[in-house]
Amino acid sequence: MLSTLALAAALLLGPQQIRPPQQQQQTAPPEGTATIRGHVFAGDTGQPLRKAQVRIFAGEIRENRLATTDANGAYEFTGVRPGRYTISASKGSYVTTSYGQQRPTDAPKPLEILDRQTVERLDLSLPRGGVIAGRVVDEFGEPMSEISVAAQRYQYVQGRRTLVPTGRMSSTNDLGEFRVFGVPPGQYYLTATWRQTGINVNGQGNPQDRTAYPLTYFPGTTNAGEAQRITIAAGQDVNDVQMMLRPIKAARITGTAIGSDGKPMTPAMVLVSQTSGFGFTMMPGGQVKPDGTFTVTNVAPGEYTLRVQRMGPAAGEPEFASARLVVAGDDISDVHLIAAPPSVGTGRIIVDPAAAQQLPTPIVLTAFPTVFDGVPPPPPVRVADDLTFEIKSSPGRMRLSFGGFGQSPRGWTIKSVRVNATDVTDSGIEFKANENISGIEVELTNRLTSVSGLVTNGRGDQATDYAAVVFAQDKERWTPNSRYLATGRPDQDGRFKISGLPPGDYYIVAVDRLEPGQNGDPEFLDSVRSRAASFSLMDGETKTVDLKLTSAQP
Amino acid sequence: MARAFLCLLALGISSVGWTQPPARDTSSDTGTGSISGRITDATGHPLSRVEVRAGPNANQVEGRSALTGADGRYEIARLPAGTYTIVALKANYVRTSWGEPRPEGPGKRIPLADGQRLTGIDVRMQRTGAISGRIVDEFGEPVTDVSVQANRYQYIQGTRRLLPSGRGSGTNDLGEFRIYGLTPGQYYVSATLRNFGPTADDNADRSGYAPTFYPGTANVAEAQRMTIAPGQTIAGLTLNLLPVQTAKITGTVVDVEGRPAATGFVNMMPKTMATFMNFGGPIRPDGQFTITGVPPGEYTVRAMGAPNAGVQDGAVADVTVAGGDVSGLQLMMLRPSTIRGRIAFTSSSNGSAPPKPSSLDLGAIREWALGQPVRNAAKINDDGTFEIQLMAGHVQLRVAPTGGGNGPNAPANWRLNRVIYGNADVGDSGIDVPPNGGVEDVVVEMTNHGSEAVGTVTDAAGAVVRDAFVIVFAQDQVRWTVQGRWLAVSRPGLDDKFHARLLPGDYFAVAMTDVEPNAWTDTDFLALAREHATRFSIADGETKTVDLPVTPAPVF
Repeated sequence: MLSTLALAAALLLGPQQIRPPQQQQQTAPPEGTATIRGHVFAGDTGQPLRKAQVRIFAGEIRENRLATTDANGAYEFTGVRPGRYTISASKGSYVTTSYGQQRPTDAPKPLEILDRQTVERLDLSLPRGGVIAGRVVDEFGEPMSEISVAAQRYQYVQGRRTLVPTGRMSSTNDLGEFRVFGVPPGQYYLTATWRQTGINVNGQGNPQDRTAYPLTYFPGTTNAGEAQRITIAAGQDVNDVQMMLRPIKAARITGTAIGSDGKPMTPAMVLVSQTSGFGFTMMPGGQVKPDGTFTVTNVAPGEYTLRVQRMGPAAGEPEFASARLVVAGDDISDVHLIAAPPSVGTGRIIVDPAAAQQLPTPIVLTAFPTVFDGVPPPPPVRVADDLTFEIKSSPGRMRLSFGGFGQSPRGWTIKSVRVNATDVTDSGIEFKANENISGIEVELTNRLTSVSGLVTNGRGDQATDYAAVVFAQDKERWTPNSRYLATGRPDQDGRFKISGLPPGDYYIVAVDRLEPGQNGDPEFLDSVRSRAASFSLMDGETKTVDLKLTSAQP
Repeated sequence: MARAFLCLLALGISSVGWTQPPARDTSSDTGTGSISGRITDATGHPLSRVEVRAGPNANQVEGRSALTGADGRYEIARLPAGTYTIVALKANYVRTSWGEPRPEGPGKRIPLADGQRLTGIDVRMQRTGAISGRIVDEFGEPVTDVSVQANRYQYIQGTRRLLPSGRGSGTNDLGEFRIYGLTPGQYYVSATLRNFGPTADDNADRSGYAPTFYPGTANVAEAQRMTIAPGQTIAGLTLNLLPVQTAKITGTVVDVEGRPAATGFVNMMPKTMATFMNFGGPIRPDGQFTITGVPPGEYTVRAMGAPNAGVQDGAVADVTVAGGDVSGLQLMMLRPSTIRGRIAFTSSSNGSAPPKPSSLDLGAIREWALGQPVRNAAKINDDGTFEIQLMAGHVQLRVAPTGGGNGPNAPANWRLNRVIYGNADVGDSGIDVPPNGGVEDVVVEMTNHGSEAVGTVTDAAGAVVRDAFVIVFAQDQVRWTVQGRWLAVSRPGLDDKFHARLLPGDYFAVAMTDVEPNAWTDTDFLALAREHATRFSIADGETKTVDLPVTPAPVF
């Protein structure tokens, strides 16, 4: 469907030699010795793009750097450490494009950078994004402001095809107008979302208003199955799209929030997050009153997580309570929330004594909920010098990761997390209200596995465009965000490389096409399993597996 | 470029699934009076779903209210006898009070007797204004993702400050913006190219854009002011972003134990109103941080550790960026300091028991960047002892009015009398809280002793004026502090008199019909208002009659 849209995102070896920008003296030079430089161009006009953001990212060595193009569209990274990098450029209304992408939905290809290497003319051409513009009106034909309009397309999320917003979401203005821009070519469903809980322009709730507007798909249906598809070609503008929203009765949620001391929970905030649809939207629901009661108005039908949290320094030890609610139109009263202080998990780090000397300092652990429903994760914790730690968490299943937000030590990973001799690395630690957990064991390792190889096509030639899909032989491990699923793309030598898989028995297959996230779909994995090769990885093992290219279609 | 018309207002789809029942107020407050009327737009067209509020204080969210139906009609029923103002609210319309002397001015008071059915309280609403245009760079090309705001001067914490108003806008792919929801007034349009994401920019090139005021200046004094009339749209502005050299800020954060802070964030906020950006980034495991793309200006840099048991370590430093990079900034985190003390009560004036200390809302207040006050609330025990955790600095202790009803021992009837620290009343001067520790033995004294100034306001012809603000303030200028105990603002009530509850002392009083909200927190305003003020003194327990003429509000 998108084959006509071959985007010139590949390495463009332009004939003209352009002088790199002048590099000033850095205060603290990075430790690497390689250089990457190039230009960013507008795909439609071929003109250089100023102030485009270029990002180089190497997951394995935790390198993430950013540069902005100069007046000639030129960028440069110096002091680059060796590693496998993806390189992407973005600018405003253009479609973000990575090195090695033939289509905007392709996964980027890595570029293997060696010590002292200078990569010249790594040029990226950004296609102009498409535009969907129009107007949203209410049942009287009056313009509606503050409506969130998004172009959504089906993508694999956690192994399932889900509608995901693409391009820029737009909020309607006082004339009801919206303009969704930066839309990559593809097929879209346009959605209009009304902001809930009666927060109007005056910032005050409207306690009498019982009108809500449900999530609506273009041209005006609440049923995704009846939604009309809009096809956007490269750089296409679709204008004058009109959507009408029709009201439904809004529900009101009332209840009480009691602290763990049995007293009304105050000062406290009510936070409402909608868990139906893609992701979640969090809305402030207001304050808990001094008598412990709360009211949330103007709630449209949907699934919600209601969370009450003590706020402010006077609140002392933080406390939370949450409840999941399904709103179907009727009011919900008597929601009784009883807060609990965060549960405390204590434990220690376990590491091979031989490697203990190389442990990074400080060690930081971060807990993430296995199902994110708007409840904020606990802050990262610092492991004490005696390798013990303490994590305070609200109730829920928490998976541990090594490092703080957006930062992780190089060359190390969590090998296993155990509670009472049970492996909870993948399932998560279950924190229960008013129950502390002791004896959490987090085993760290710097013996990372690696599997790499080359792929040949049907004619026996080396393939340069494919996706190597690795998945555990054990179907039980084909779960969302599993550590046992990975993909690799060819670098400039045609080689794929996947690092950090847990030891175990795997299948591997090279397919000609893979949609983003498709390797998390158990059906897909089942369909390619018969054509896959088998291999095993031991602790810290490096393996080479050469493959034959197969079609993604069975 | 391909252009498709997808006008698809699904024809023939049966109408509305659920219709609004007739507008009716559902509050349980008992009374036999009612107020009704019709709300229309500027052309007389009825407006539906307008929230109409009735109340002595129509600003209260939980006032008595009703919604208009499709015919624009409302009725607020079962109202007890009293004096009411009527306010109409609807998104993208100017908040309108019935009988207001000017847009957004105070509404006329409406006396309502028992059983009275008052009709014809009609309000005509104007749409809010809008400003639209385009943001371009130094080459005249449109810039996407620029945050555009309309700012107006407002009183915050005693000074006139430029604050964003209405709905700001991000520019689209054509560089276009539209700011809407603007109430009538005077605005300065500003454009800021925000930097997203916490990753520092590697570039040696430091070219960036200053937060720019229309038509193209970083200096608000050179900015062009725009006056928005009710319902007015100013379209077609072109704002040129002002290119500047930005700076890279690098430094180190050390935690309370002297080690590099391994987790947390650094945040950088402009100190003045000239800029609206907010920069930040994570602290790396080695304690270092880098912030790039910072335009020239004065900033407050804050480092915040991970919150632990509701307590957050922090560090603050001031940084001036004047073009060049700033490196080697050292931030040392401190544990929060504490203020400890107890709450005391004077003897009761009427024999009623004082309220439970823990029912009071005590807090330490200070000014933070951008004029935003920061309040650290106290944790109060039942025995009256309290503790406030806060960062070191200069603060004032204040007790917020609580919605404690009107009973004789309701907390609302007890006010802050004195703050005693080191044998002195520091209620006005405030307390210096040192780092690494804090202050102890602070006594917060509450009183219900009622001195009251009562009076009528009259105009030049001698007629009684109900729609006036009466501002009573101390003669001693030292007492003109933000959150002052020596300031009372009152409006005449049903008896046509104002009632100002005061601590004993010497006061000025003025009455004005047209005054900007919170202007009375500005010492310059008080200095000018003093010229026309009436002097009086009031003793403990005294009720004093102070009749006032209407005076014009000071003009700056």
